[in-house]
Amino acid sequence: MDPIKLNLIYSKTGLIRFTSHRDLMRMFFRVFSKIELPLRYSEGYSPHPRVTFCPPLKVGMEGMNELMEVHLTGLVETERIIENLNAALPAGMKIEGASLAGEDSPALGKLISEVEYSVSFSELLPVTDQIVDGFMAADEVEIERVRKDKIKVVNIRRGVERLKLLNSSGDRAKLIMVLLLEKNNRPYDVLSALSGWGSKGVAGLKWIREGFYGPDYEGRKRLLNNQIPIIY
Amino acid sequence: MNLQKTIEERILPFVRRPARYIGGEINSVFRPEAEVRLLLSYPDLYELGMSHHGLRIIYDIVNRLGWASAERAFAVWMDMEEALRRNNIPLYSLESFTPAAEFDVWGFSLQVELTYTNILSMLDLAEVPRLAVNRPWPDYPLLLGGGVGTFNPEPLADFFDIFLIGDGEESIVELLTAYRQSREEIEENPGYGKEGLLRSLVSAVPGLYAPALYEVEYDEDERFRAIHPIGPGIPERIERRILRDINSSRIDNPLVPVTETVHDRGVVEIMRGCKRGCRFCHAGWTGRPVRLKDKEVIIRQAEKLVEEAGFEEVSLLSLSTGDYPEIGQLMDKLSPLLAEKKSRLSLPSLNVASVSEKMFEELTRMKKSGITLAPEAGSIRLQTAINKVLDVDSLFVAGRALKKLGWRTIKLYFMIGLPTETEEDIIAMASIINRFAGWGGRLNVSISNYVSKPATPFQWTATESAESLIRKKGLLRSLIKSGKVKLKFHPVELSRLEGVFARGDRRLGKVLAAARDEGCLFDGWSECFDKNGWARAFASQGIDMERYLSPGYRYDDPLPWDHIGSGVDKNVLIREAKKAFEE
Repeated sequence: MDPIKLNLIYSKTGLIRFTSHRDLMRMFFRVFSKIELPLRYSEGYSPHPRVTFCPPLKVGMEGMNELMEVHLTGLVETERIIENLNAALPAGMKIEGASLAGEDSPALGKLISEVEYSVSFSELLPVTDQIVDGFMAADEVEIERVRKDKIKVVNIRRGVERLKLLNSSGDRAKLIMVLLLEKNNRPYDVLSALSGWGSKGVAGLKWIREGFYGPDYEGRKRLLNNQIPIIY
Repeated sequence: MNLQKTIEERILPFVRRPARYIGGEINSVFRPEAEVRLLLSYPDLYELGMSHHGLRIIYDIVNRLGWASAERAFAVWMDMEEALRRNNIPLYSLESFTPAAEFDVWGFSLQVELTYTNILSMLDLAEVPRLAVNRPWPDYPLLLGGGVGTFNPEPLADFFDIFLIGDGEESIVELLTAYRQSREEIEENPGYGKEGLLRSLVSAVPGLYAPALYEVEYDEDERFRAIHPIGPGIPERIERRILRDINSSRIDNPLVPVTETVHDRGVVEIMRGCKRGCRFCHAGWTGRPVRLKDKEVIIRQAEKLVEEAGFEEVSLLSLSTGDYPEIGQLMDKLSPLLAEKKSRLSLPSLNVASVSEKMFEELTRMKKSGITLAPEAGSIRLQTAINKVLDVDSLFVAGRALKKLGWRTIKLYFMIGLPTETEEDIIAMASIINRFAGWGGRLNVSISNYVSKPATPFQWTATESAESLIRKKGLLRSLIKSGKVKLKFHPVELSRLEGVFARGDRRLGKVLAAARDEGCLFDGWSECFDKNGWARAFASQGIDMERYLSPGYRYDDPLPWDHIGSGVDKNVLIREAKKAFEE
């Protein structure tokens, strides 16, 4: 049998969003074992399944188009895999799509370069179109990050590709942000900078990681055969 | 659903490890329309409670019944408790977010005395009155206690309505069945009340103890004198239940924890009870007779765990796995079957005396990390007195063999404060440790403090004073030379408190309530244990905790737990105890 890659796109919604990335990994490994997915294992002393996850989702955040790359020892029927996984996964975890790719196709890490978040809030959070425009017009927006006992000043404007404020129904608004996928670009910091709210207050809002983008839009379409987040 | 939404939006984003409080596990059962609803609780956090095998067995059995259902609730951490109170939300079940007070029966697993304040906290959070007398039926759930703690349930007698003593598989079904029937009868006889219900349940279910149906007498010296039924038709003594057919004990639909738990693996019980008869061991003496599960049954159950739940590790559970006959053969058969399914075997508890070289090789193939050996006592003399003799030489040779096979850590368990222990025994303990220090890998030594437990041959002996234990600890520390040894002691005050409740009587109920009101909670967690809070609690109730620890009892003294039959004749225990004290 020829090794192959199974690309999965899944969502994590509802109460299960309060589990951690490690919980998620364990959950998937167990479900893969249960449905007897022909996983490929790494070599060496303590073999583990060769699976690549997208960057960890923060505890409490929902994810609509999460990505995962699973190395298999042979071909599988993607429709059946989706069905079997969805039957076995706990409530709130759903496989949205699956596709197969060759072993030599680009790795997950190479395919994604941007990440989109949305956050919903009431009028209590003082973010307006002016504030958003002001942020995007600036070259620098600095915030302080405390690590251990040191305070570091960081320019977070760099990491923000796009910001859009949507006024949904009534008193609830929704902010869409697209950030460059680099370790230090944190969505909470962006909202903190816009609103003046501390990170604790901001963390309690309704956050959703809407999806990822590739450096090349076509590349992303090749990866998935499912929904693609809309760019506002 | 309002409850769930509030919890989801206003509470969970702000507490530590919110995954403890969400439920939604694979194989969790949501059946709120069941005729009889049982809530099962282990009085500690999710990550500990979910590791408790007994709770999972009962959960599975009750959910198979069709007319009954079992849901779960665990203790919540302080930040969650505060958030629930602030939002006026009661303790709820994980399966359906049903408030705990709405269940028919609320069962607690009593395993560790230091979790008892958590029980009161959970009752408070559920807005269920603590005292049984303040809970009219059917306005409130019936409070049920199960597990090893029921061999002396007296400290909890003010709070619990019923205790199921011994193996729960059959008795829980009988209890819920009798409850369902009684409830129908009550509709026709409104004057029934809780006492009527308890009398009816007790006569229907052997092994069921209802403390309200008994009266306790104390003598002038305030020592326990006797316990009597309040009237006819109530048993003088309650004999524990024994599940004869251990093969019938199984879990068809194993719960898969949604977040990391302390023992996060599939578990198959292979043996109940223990043949060794170590004189200090509560679990061993209350678990007799030994019952073995058939190899084929074990294998099938282990495979099923991987098929049903995808567990990457399967553990064989018993008090002394090395004593299971032909354990080597079992492991030989099971290991490759599991490996085929990409799972592996783990063996937490081994009596190393019975472990063969072959077994070590087997273990080596599986996972090389640490192995635990439990000599408990340092000298042959003391080992003989407690009836746990280990050939230390062979242990040491085994250690060397393990090193060659690539193992990295050995963990040694010892106890200080054992009956008849002297300084010589501590010196002997140090020499064993020093000898093992050279085995070639890491050596972690855990020293716990001996506590006298009910239903054991040592139930009459005093628990050693704090000063003496501390002195012995100091002596041991001073004798350990090697820096390669990591020595871990347990807080003496924690152990002594455990000892008080282990052999306590009903008067401790007031102390427990006072301690909870003083803020005591999660007492088993050393960072939470509040020695002063407990001291204030004892003082405010006028109870001297020392009286429960020493000088101990005479063989002919009445014991507060004598009415609970542990399955072993008292004369057998006395005989065993005398052997220890005869040189």
